[in-house]
Amino acid sequence: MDILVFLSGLIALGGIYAMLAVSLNVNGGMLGLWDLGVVGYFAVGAYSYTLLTHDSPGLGMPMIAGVIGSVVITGLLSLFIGYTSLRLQSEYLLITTFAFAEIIRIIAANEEWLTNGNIGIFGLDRPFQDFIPGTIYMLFFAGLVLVVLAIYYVFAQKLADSPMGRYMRAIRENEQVTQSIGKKIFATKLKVFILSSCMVGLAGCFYVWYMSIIAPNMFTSAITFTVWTALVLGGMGNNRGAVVGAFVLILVQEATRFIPVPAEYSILLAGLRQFISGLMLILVLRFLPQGLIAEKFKSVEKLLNFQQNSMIIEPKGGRRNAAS
Amino acid sequence: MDYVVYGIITGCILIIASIGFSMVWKTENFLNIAHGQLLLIGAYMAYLFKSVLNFPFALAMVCSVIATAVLGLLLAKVFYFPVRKSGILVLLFTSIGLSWIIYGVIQAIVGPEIRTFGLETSKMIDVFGRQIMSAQELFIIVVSLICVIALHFVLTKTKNGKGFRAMAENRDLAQIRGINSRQLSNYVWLISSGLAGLAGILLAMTGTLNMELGWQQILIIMSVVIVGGMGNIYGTMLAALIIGLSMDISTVVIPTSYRTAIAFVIVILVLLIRPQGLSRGGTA
Repeated sequence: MDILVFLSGLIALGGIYAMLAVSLNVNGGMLGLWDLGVVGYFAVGAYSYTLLTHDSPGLGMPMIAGVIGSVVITGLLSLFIGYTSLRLQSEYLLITTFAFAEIIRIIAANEEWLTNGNIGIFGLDRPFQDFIPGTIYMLFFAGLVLVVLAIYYVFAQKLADSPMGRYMRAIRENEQVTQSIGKKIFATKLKVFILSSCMVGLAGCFYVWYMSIIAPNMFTSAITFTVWTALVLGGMGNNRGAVVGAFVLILVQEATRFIPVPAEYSILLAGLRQFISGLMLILVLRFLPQGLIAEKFKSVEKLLNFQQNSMIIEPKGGRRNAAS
Repeated sequence: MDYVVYGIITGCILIIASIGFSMVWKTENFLNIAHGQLLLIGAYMAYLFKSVLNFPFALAMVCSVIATAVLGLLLAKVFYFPVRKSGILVLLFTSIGLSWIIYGVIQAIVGPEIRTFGLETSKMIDVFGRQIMSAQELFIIVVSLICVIALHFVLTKTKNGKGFRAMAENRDLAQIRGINSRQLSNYVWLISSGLAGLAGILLAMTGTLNMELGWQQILIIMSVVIVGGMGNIYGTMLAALIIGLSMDISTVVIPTSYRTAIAFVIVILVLLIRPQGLSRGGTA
């Protein structure tokens, strides 16, 4: 029974990270925005859900209203962040989004009247808590996360195959050319950015349910780096890769947590976990720059099958590295 | 008045911490996130020499700076040089991976407890009958001034320094003109890592040694470099002082815990109003 609870906990956490990685893939992978502010929208989603549903501090609204509210609030905030920062290029965008995320965390840690400061808020309700016995609750929750992850995945996949998806990849590959054929760059970036942030905000609600507490130190920049690492591991611009990368990374990070070791080695093990994540990232980048699963250009392949005598050469391994 | 002094000290440490980062950005064209962890290495190396091997503090500092410089160059050779051709995003993520590795190794060795160098509190220095700052704080300011002046002369007077500036402007052109860019970038990594180590030690002198030091500082360092304008070294120095001062002076009006948020607000404002930074490109 214990192993079942542990496994379902692992799947739930992995699923939440996979949700984040899929959302990040929408703007980081497909559109090529260097967004290091993931944890910011994650925190805003989680906090706005908590404050809408919790009694004090908070408004005590029903759970579904909280979820919708948190998505809306995250969307509005990302509209502001996106509108101000999306005109910036690569590294500058990276630092601005990073800065916004840090400001959000600092505000969460210091506005005690709103968020109860560093102590956080405990004992938050989980969905359908009353109907499902506590012993198998984690199992149910893991199932719920997987269902939502599947929805995320299908949605992102549909988006990737849509005209919008092709157009996003066009912006990633060459912004000037895309602009020259009359596409609105900034408006697209803003739309996709808001969409992705809303998806991250929703994942924030699941994180609150998973932890059943909320505190500012749950939202450090380590989460951003973990999600990006998962995306790069799995393969950027590729939803399947994002899911696989997130599960592999969480498995590696969490599996070592439960190896029974004497207490004096626990610190060593904690260090080892970071070490392994870093080493995995570096090795993948060195030897598989496209990640575990490389991005496939579905539409191009279809085109090639259609016209066998075409001059277009199918993108091979080395053509596109993660840098583009 | 105290706040101004604190601000200057914070600014001085930031100068040392950011110049190395800025130099690497200028020559290698990527954001070296692992620079923050080099601060951590420097600080813990100094702790190792001072408290474990019982060196005198000055000697411990020198040893630690040299060790960090060499280690930084080695890490760059092992991790960055092979993937240089793969583009900046690969380099960026390699540096994030390297940060995890360094963080993990140091965490495994030293554990979570917070340490200090255990320096005895130095006496205050009186100027016109007012106590301005302690000898330690004066030491920090003097060290960073020496670094800045030395760096200025190296960059403008020596052959390698001029070569660095040429390489920062246009790497290919510099190579055509016979500048040995491979050798020069070794020097850049040495200097950059050494400065990072020094900054780590100075930072740990003013506060405590904890594991999060690297991650906390890299954010502020990035802000400083952006505000200073695209790897411009003199702009970076100015920006470090401005951010240091505004972080500490702001504590007069707003709660201390918002101190770091000020740095980020400044960087966001600068990027929105003047995206090229305080001073545009120009000479190194």
